[in-house]
This record gives sequence, C-alpha cells and structure tokens, in this order.
Amino acid sequence: MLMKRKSRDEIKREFESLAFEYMDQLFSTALRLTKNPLDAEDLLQDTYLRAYRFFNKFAPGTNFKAWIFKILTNTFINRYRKKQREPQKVEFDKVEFAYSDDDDKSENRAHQETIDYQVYEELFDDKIKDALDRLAEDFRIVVILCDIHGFSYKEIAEIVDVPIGTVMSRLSRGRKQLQKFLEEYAIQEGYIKRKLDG
Amino acid sequence: MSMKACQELEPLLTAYVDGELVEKEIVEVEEHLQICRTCREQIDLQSSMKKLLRERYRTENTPLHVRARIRRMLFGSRPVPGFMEMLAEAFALHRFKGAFALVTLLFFVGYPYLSAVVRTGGRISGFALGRDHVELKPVEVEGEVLCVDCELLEKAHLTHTHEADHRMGIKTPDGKIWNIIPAGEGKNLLHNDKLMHKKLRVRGYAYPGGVYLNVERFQKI
Repeated sequence: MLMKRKSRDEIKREFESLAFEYMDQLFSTALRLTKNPLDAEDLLQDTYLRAYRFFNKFAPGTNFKAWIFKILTNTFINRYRKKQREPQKVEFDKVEFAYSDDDDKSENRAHQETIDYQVYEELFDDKIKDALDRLAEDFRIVVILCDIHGFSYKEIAEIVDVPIGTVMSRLSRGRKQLQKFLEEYAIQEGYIKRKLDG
Repeated sequence: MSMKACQELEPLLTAYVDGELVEKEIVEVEEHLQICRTCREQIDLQSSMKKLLRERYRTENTPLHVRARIRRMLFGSRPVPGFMEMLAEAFALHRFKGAFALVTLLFFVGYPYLSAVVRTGGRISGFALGRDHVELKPVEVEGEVLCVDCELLEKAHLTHTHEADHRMGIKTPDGKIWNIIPAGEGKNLLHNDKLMHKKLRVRGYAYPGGVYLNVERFQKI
C-alpha cells in the first residue's frame, strides 16, 4: 500500500499554524510556573522543541491546546521543579560579571536582553499575578488552567495527570486562598462586597 | 426530599461555578442554595474570583527574540539537508526508484531551463535564470539621517556593537527607512557620522523590491 507521507514542509506549516498561536499564553503560564523570566524562556523553548519532536504522536482533530499545555506542565514538573527547590541566590555583580566574561557568545547577549524591563514590571506591578505567585504550586496550575485558559475539568485532569475530584478540590482551595490574597483589590475593583460583620 | 448538609455539598459548589455539573446535581445544589446563606456566599466568592481572573489577567507577550530563537531552533537550522532529506524520503517511498529519480531530475533541471527558454524566446543567457532587468524610479525624499542597523536592532531588542561602524540611512516621516547604495554620492553619505540625526533632502533612484536608494545628490535642510 502506498501511504502518502507528509513532506517536511507540510509538517512544519501544520505545526506552525497550530502551535505558534498559543505562544503568548504558554509563555505567560511559564512565567507563573517558574516565577522567573529566564527560566520561563527556557521552559517555553523546551516545550516547543518537545512538541515539535513528538508532533507525530499528536492525533489530528483532537485538542491541540490541551496537548501542548500538557507538554509545558510535564516539562516544568520534570525539569524545573527540582531546580526550584534549591534556594536561589541572586547576586547582581556576579550575574553581570558572568555575562561580560564570555561575551563572544551571542546567545549570552540575547539572554541578557531577556531581562526585559517590561516583563519585570509586569511581574512586580500586577496584583493578580502577585497573588497567583503566592499560591501553592498544585493550586496555581489548576486555577490558571481553569480560570485563565478556560480548560474543562476533564482536560485539566489530563494535563496535570490527577483525577477530576482532585482538580475540583484544588480549584476550590486555590480560589479560597486567592480570595484571601486579593480581597482588598477585589473589593476596590467592585468584584466582591465588603463584609459587614468584620 | 432531604437536604444534604453543607459539608457534603461543598465539593459540588466549585463544579457548579464552573458549569461542570449534570442536571440532577444542579437541581440538588440550587435547592440547597435557597435555604443556605453560607453556601450562597461561597458560590458568590468563587465566581467573583473566577471572573476577576478571567477579566483582569493580562497575558505577557513573548519577547520577540525568544519567538525568533524558537522559530530558528525548530525550522531554521538545516535548510539544505532538510531538502535532501525530503528527496531521500520521497525516493524511499517509491518502488520504481529509477523512474522517479529521472522524473525528479527532469523536473528540477528541465523546468527552469524550459521556462527560461520560453521567457527569452529561445535565447538563453546566464542572466535569464535570474532577474535581468530592473526599472529605477527617480525619487526625492526628505528625512532624518540615522544608522539603519542601530534602528532595526533596537526594534528587535538587540544592541549595535561598538566595533561595528554606523551605516547611514534616511528615515522619512512615514517611518520608512531608506538604505543607501554604496555608489556615487551615496558613498559620501554612507559612513559619515557627522550627518547623524541631520535632516536631509536626497535625490536619487529607488530600486524596486526593497527600500534602496541610489543617491544622485543630497543637501542639508
């Protein structure tokens, strides 16, 4: 039997049209997961590399957005979570020194540019993002997937690889914590009413 | 009908907010909500939080150079082997390899040849396979002198290294950046740092297919 195989170009175009649309959503989620622009960029890059490598495993017609979010989440859990547990030391002088030390690598320069003022500003200047960053990781992931990206419980259960009941209880507890962190802001913005009984 | 206790219903409240319950469960929750203020508040709070996130969360844009890097890593690393691999793949698929190779060869070599013959009416020259004739359009532009590389790199969030010298171009008020052809008067303009940020009126010829200017004369304004 003669099977029509897709050319490299066709695969490339198909992947591009499916995957590049979600890049900002994935990047934003990566920022929430890693809490660090540099790690978020690496995570995003790894996600796309893996997605492209395993693109033949994706069943056409099924939910691509859920599929690529699962890759992001898995990559994060396998690679970055472990790294994050180690206490992070940031010494500005050393960072600067490290860059100027081998500036022949253009990749490094690009990385330095990454510490994009805008990204930082958004990280620190946004009450909602601050509140999300304070949530425990398990809660944060499900809240982001459900409330920001609009995934169903079934999809979230697939992405995070836990039963639907667990998704539900994490959402419930996550929203309760968020409410604690965001109460003042939510009142100020008219989303909830101030409690009368203290 | 007995009402379930709040504790028993609590897990259902979240799913109620997210519209994940079946009809029977919805009825059950709504009956309970009518008599239970605590659960009503619970529902309100959860849906407020959900609404707040949905409406106020701003997705960050992926920095342009990250986007470019990902594209390069996925698609741009091996342009020529990619084509060869594609050919190899095609050969491996067909049982009549020889015939297919011949057809492929004829297509890749014969088609450009034939089309060149058609275009030139039988006279084939080396130039016939590329663009052999362009129309230059006389233009006069007014604008500010700037370094083309600095300007473009800045937009891509990169910086111009100090060792590289500046290559002048003209930015017109509509935002178009004209490159200068290094010929004739253009040579006097191209690497002249003293002209940086000066306003100029330039007369010359525009090349098609790009914003390139062959300078005939320029003056400060």
